[in-house]
Order: sequence, then structure tokens, then C-alpha cells
Amino acid sequence: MGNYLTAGFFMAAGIFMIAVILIKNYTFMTKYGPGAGFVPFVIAVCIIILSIVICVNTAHGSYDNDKDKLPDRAGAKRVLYLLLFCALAALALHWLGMAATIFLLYLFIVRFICEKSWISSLKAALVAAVVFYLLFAIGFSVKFPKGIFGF
Amino acid sequence: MKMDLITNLLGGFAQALSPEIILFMFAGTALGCVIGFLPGMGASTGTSILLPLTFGLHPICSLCMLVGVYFGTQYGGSISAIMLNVPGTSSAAITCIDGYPMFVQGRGGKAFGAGQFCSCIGSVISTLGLAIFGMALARYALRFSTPEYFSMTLMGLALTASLTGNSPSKGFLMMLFGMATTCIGVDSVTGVNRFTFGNIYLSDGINTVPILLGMMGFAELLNTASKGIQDSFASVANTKIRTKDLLLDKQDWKLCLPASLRSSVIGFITGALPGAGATIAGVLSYGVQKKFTKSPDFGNGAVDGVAAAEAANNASTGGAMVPMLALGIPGSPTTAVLLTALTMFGLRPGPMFYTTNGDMVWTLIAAMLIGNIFALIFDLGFIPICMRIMGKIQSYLIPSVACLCFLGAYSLYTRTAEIWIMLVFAVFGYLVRKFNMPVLPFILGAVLGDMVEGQFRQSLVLSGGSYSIFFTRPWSCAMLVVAIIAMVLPMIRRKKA
Repeated sequence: MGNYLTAGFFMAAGIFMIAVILIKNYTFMTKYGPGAGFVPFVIAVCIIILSIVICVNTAHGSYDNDKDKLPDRAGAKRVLYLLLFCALAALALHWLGMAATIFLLYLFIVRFICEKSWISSLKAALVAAVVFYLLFAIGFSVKFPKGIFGF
Repeated sequence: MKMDLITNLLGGFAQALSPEIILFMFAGTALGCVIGFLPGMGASTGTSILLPLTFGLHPICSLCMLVGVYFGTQYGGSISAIMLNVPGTSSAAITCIDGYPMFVQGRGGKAFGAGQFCSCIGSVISTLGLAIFGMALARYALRFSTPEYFSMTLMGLALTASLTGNSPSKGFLMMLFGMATTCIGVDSVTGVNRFTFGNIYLSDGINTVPILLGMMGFAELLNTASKGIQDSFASVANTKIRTKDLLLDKQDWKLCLPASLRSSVIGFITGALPGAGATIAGVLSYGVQKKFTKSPDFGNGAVDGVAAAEAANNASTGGAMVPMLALGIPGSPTTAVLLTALTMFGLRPGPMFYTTNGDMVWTLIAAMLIGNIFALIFDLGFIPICMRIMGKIQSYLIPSVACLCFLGAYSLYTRTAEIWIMLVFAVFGYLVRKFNMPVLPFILGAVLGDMVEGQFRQSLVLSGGSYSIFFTRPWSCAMLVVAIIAMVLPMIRRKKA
């Protein structure tokens, strides 16, 4: 099933690429050689062909040793939490500033993914925020948004 | 030629012995040893996470630090393989076969010692190989033009895609998808916006740094998070190993030295082949050592088994640098990160690199030799300590790496768009791993895709649109034939099997 899903995704991507090339009228050939659409078109066609090959091989049982290693419910929850925290941190970065964002990101990951106590999580997050601030903002002079706290 | 080599190497040492380079080399090596020790954090992950940290450094300091991380991870990878039967890097998986039984049998010190000393032998031999053959290859490659480069890059990609993973079709599919990501942005020849959909952020194309951070660093993190934080290191912390326990006696050296010399040569050659890398080098060397071994317990706690695996995977690092520096073709994900670092500083590795940036190359080679000694000394002190602190580090690994990836992606252009790109590729990287798709061909496709397209189109401009240019030039034709064989042969073999 995993192979069919993967092949389906890539096939859709290939078809999408061809559709965009045709709709946007990227040129295939110019008088100087291949145009902007030539290489993406060839890549898209090859992607579709290989997706079909994977489907055919799967149907013939060629990948019978492949096991889908999807996580259990708890594992999937941890993955989603991690992505959610990072996405929220990306949204909050301009508003909260770098240090506060990293403090909260670290705090929530340690508390909810590593399942440490609130006290341990707070201590670790505080240390991490200071270390990352010193490393990136001071050490490497990266310009971060100041946010409502001014740092 | 021989005098040139010695003069260049001495010049390199004169530069590399500056306090600044020594400091960054040591920092990179030490970090690499720690990163390699941490399960799931390989050389490619380590270098891609640390890449943004080196933005503000001088190019040679940045490169020395990243190269230090590269071989430091190979040293460190063996520690968790021997201690926990969990290879810190995929290349250290072979070390588990003999290393872990030795640890269980109470010979952990010897296993660690064999791993560290033979890693050093492998690295030094391969660095000397890089010094000797890198320049020769670069000189020869000066005769190459765009058709040869196109064929060679295609050959490297084809070999990589066919050698990695359990299915060549999956490898090629991932490689092509990686190349497809490089089609996004303004076409450098015609100036047409491709696949940008009016998004201003996409006009410059997708930078490879957030792709690397997402596909390697963050995706590995998601993988670790999905499995849960392992807290099974208490028994390890109770085992005491002192530095003097790591020293090998005469009998051990008799077994380890021939094994490590043989494996170093195999590792160097394997590392230089695009797509082969440290894991294949370890497998090949272990197989060869099996033929030569005098240990009755080979496969179940033989010291030369550890020596062969470790010497080979470390030797592959120097080998992998040969095509990267001399031809501008990364043969592994880590050298792809190193290539990205060089490109960021406006440097273009290739045949001219030895001429235009000779100082940098020789300083790097000298720094690699010095760094290997650092790595050995560091690990001899690090192993006893890390036995005790492993449990504590593990708990804070996920948040620390997540923050490093997050800040690293932002630091690239100081905008959040790169964080989103990193997260998208992290999800993609996590899912493709779950569905048994190889990641390496995608990475190489994403790094080399625009180069392949550029070389292909430039060659056709040169020939006035005639495709015969790729077949009438002998080297180009030969490499295209190899590329075609690499694409077709595994599929035929698989069908027959």
C-alpha cells in the first residue's frame, strides 16, 4: 500500500509539472538550444514512467520485503506536536522575538515530547534560550526580530 | 610532482597551524565526535545543522570546522555502536557486529581502542590519498569541457541512484524529484519564471540549506520522536572504562594493523566513487577481512572485525573529498553539504579549484591530518565520560536539534520562508523514509540538478543544438555509457532475481 501511495504522489507531481509547463507555455526549444520547459518536461515524464514502474513492480510482488514503518498513535502524536510547535514558533517569531520564541519552543518540546516535569522543562528552556541567543544573535550577529520584549 | 606535493603539504601545514584554524578544526572534530555518538545523528545531519553556524566565519575556518564534523562523526559513530549496539551513523552498523559482543564480553575497552586507533589510520591514509590523487585527477580533469561535465555529473547521479536503497527505480525517482526542485525559480538562460506561481520568495529558487536541514536534520528528529525517547542507558552508565583500557597490546595490533591498512585502501577507493560512501566501504572491507582473518571469533567479538569496519568508514571520508574538490561532484550527502558551504562563500570546486584556491585545498588537507589526531585524543578522553552522561544528553537532544534547525533555516536570509520550506521538506523526508524511499538520491538531485541542466543546455549551445556532442567526445561518451549501464543493469538484475 505504501508503494502505491508513494508512486501515486510522485505521479501526481509529474502530471502537475506537465500541466504547469503546458498552461504557462514554457518554451521547449529556442534557436540556441533547449528552452525553459525542456528539462522540467523530461524530468516530469521520467517521474511518471518510474511511478508506473514502481506500481507494476509492487503488483508483481517485487517489493515484498518492504515494510511500511508508520508510527503508532503515541509516536504520530509526538511527530505532530513537534511540527505544530515549530509551525507556531515560526508564526510567533516576529511577534515574540527570538529569545522568547526559542524559550517557548524548547519548553513545549521538553514538556510534551520528552515528557519532563514543568520545573525541569522551564530550567532547560531558560538555559537553551540564553545559549541560542548568545550563539546566534550575539556570536553570529544574525538579525532576529525584536518582538514585544525587545530582544 | 613529488616535490610539488611535499611543498604544497608543508605550505598547508604552515597555514593550518594558525590558532584560528586549529580552534575551529578542534571544535568541529569534538562536535562531530559528540554528534556521531548520538544515535540518528550522522555526518550529513551534523554538517547540515552546523552549516548555518559557519556563515559568519572565514571560508577556510568554516570548511575546516565542517570537515572536522565529517570525520569526527565517523569516530563518534563507533562509540554508540560498540556501547549500545545502536550505530550512531549508518556506516557504523558494521562495527556493531563485532564491537557490541566485545562490550558484552567485558572487552569494551579493546573494542573502543581498536575503533579509535584504526579510524585514525584510515583517515590519515585517505587524507594522504586525497593529497596525492586529488591533484592528479584535477589536472587531468582540466581537459574536460561542459559535455564531459554533464556526462560525469549524470554518471555520478546514476551511480548514486542505482547503488542506494533497495530498488533502483525508487532511487531514480527520488533523484529526479530532487532535480525537479531545482527547476523552481528564474531560468538562468531565458529569464522565465518557472513554477513560482507569482511567489516572490520562489523567484530565486529553493536554497539547498533548508532542504538539507529539513530532509536530514529535522526529518531524523521526527523519526526519533516517533519512536520515543529511549531511556535504556542505565546499565551502560554503570560500566566503568578508563582511558588506559582503550590502549591496544601487541597481540591486538598484530590483528588490527593489516586489517586497517587493507580496509583503508578499500575505504578510500569506495569513498571516491559517487554514491558508494562509508556504509558500502564498511561492508566491502568487512567482507574482505572475513577472508583474511585469523580470529576464530570473527563475527562474534573479533578485534580485527572492528578495525576493518572502522578503518574503512573513516577512509571513505578522504575518498569522498576527491571528486568533491577536484571535480565539484559530491559523492555523498555530507560532501553535498560541504559543496553547499563552498558555494555559499562564492567558491566553485572543480578542476580549477586546485589552481585558483590551492592554498585553501592544501590548508584543508593539512588541517584534516591535524584534526584526525585531535579526534583520536578527544575520543580517548570522551569515551569514559560519555558512558556516564549519555542518559542525560538523550533527554534534551530533540529540543536542541529542533531549535538549531529552526534558527539555522531563519539565519540563511533572516526570514521565516526558509523555516516553512525546512518544515515542508522535513515532513517529506520523514514520510519517504517511512515508505522505504532512499533520501540520498533526492539530496544529490537537489544539489546537482541546476548544474546538470546548465551543463546540458550549454553543451547544446556549443554544438548548435546537436546531441552528437555528447557521443563524439570520448570521455563524455564513455561516462554516458557508464551512466546508462548504471541505470539499466540494476533493473535487469532485479528482474532476473
